[in-house]
Amino acid sequence: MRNDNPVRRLQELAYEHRIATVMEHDVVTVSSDTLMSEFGHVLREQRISGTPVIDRDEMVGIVSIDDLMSWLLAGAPDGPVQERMTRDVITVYADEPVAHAVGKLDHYGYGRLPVLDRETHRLVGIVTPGLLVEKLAKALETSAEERELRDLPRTHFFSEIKADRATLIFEYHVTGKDMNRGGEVASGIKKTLKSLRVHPDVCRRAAIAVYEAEMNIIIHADSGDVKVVIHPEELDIHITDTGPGIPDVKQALERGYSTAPAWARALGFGAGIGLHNIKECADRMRIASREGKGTALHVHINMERPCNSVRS
Amino acid sequence: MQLCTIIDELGLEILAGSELTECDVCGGYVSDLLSDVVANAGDGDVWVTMQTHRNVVAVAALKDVAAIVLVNGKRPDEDTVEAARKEGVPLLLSSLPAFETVGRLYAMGLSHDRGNA
Repeated sequence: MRNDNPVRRLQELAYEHRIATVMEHDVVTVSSDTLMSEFGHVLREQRISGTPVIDRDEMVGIVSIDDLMSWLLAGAPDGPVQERMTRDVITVYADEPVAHAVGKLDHYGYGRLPVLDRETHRLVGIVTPGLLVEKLAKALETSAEERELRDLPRTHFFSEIKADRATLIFEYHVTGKDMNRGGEVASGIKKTLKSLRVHPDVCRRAAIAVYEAEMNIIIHADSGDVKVVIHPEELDIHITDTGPGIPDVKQALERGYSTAPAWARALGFGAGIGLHNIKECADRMRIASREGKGTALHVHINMERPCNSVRS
Repeated sequence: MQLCTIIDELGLEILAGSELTECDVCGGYVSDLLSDVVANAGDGDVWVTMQTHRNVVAVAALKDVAAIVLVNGKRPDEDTVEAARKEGVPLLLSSLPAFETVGRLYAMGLSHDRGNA
């Protein structure tokens, strides 16, 4: 069951996310022989309130603005930070859940926690309360957006059309051998479907299928046409070309089989998985081809049922 | 992890998309076969490739990758850079070969398997 309580959701996110994904990688450090006066300059220049103390790649302590204040107030002579740093440093491992860092920051009341790699015990990052709040707030926002998208009715744009039967049709022309425009039709269809707020999964599958078909037309044919027909519950893509045709459709569908010319292969096309990718995105696919005449490809996507065969 | 962290760590040159370096990177994928990228790259991945022609931008936009990382210091054609600007895809250049580039990204914690990201 879904949980819409934001506080509860925040707690869940704190357990789902690893510290490695939210920590600051770029850690300002000092060494144990850094003078307190130099340490003060580091804090001011970097606008931070404390740093781990590192000697030969190993963390030997942590020194903070509190240590600096007590040194200043005591009016003590300048000396290395090792005289005032905390040696028993509370740390977390990068692979722990964010919740562990939150717990330790809360329990000890510290302003920062060094993050160590569990195997090497070397310092790999740092977390502060401000950083955690910022990252978790962002994750909370993203998860709310994802939920909204997931709950989006797949064909809601039809609900505002008053008709007994409604169909939306978009048509595109593809010019063969024009590599410079490769992907333009797929990009246009992706943007169009997105603007209609078609479900992202359907957008993605339609765009991939059209991209592969479009590149096939550009590489093999002189010209072709793409027609996208959207019904309330399904989406059909018809792609036709006046190319050389496919002599053996069954063979063409085999993974790795390609008839792409050398120039196309040099550009990274012709891996022989284009048709396979289309098939993975389609709920139904049909190819009709006649040598010397051309090829017609029909891709059917059922909008009521998501399919995740091609990784998003 | 933010894209700018990767840019700093690997010393990448930004060819296009300098305004987009705060976007989040979820993982990575390396391939020079475009259909393989179409099938296997994930959105939010950094895509490492040695292909430099403008069609890489179309594939990157199709898959919503976080950035394209070109390797070996091989500069792309100007129209590739222009397409990346137009499509809003960060285009980065690594002076290292693909092997070293990917090795460093992996060492930073990026992988294709995003189970715990």
